[in-house]
Amino acid sequence: MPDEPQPSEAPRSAPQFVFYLVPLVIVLAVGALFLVGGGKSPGSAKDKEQPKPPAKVEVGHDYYVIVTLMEFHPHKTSGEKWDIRDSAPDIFYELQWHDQTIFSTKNDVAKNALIAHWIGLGADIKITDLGKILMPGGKRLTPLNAVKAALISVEDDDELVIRAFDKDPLSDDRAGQCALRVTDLKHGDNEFFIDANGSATRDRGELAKDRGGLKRLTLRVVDSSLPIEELVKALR
Amino acid sequence: MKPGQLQVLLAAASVLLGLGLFAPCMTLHPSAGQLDWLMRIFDPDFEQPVTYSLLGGIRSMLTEGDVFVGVIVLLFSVVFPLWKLGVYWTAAVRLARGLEPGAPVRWVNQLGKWSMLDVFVLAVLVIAVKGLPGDSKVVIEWGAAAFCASVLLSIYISLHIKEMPDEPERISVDS
Repeated sequence: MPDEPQPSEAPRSAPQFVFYLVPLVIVLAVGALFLVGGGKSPGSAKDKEQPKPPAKVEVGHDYYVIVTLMEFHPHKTSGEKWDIRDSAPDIFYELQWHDQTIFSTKNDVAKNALIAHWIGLGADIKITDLGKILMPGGKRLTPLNAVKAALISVEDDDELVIRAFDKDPLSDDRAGQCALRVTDLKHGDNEFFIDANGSATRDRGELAKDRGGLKRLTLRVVDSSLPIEELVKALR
Repeated sequence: MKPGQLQVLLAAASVLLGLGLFAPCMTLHPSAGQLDWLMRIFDPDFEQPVTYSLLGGIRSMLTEGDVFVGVIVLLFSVVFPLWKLGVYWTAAVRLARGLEPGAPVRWVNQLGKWSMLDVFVLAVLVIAVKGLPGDSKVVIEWGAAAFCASVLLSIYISLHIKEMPDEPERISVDS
């Protein structure tokens, strides 16, 4: 045997491939702990606000009112079709208070629909207005002039009349109307159904199934003294 | 630095990398400035802050059509750092057994300049998001700090592995 120097220990084996995976295992373990433990889901920073229970309006206070939904029966109260071409009506409505028309959606018609939606905000901006808005010191675009709702004051025995129409090129067809006592209104959405007598009721069971004309509507009532941020939120 | 100390640092770097990948990296607070109210009309939730982790961002890119960018970010922010730490871990084990660190360490150190790409990608992402119009804000979350700490720690480890002799001391009978 040649007199070669011998190591004091047995030759050490090269590390196995498994050592490459140690950092991956640590990273996955950290990820699992993080996700199972205290990891917050993305986008969860904002707490959900609880809706307030509906409360009745108060006498002496001012409120914005707007119809957010209106549904018509498939035919008029007379039993005739809405349109000779079998198309659905072009729905709009007016709000009357103290015998005056205080709001109308005649320029915001829901065309060829049996169910119409509106929101209480909008910006009626013509293309020619854009320059004025964008120029320094130009036309002001504020949340208040974007409110598209009627403003009423609640007093005893006051009535709010909602008149529904089918817009027609010759003469608008009246689809129905209902008179609501303003002191009976509640904050938020008030849903009304038209009964067999043509009166508005909150009881869905009293809905006239085949009366024709206006079928149901939702009236939104918003306290006008709300901060502008909440007003925008409530009216949209 | 002893191989045992290196392994402790490598474990720390791995933990930091895990946090950097899974923890919130940045939160976007969208805002349209004075036109916030108008934006809320069109999108009631547009102001909802959105928090992204690095992996969540990559997943979004891959699922929303930015496959090329998603794959690049995945390679240089996830795969490369993991491989680098794996190579260093193996090298630390080899050093502990009296062996050379091994050729992969040289490859990693030569490719080291690419490791800065993950920091670069993060920086570009932050600048890109900060460049949004309006009053939108980006808040950097602690996950980004953990990721950067992991990258810096791995650079520190690479310097110490390079300093080690190519031929580690061997105990022989005729020494």
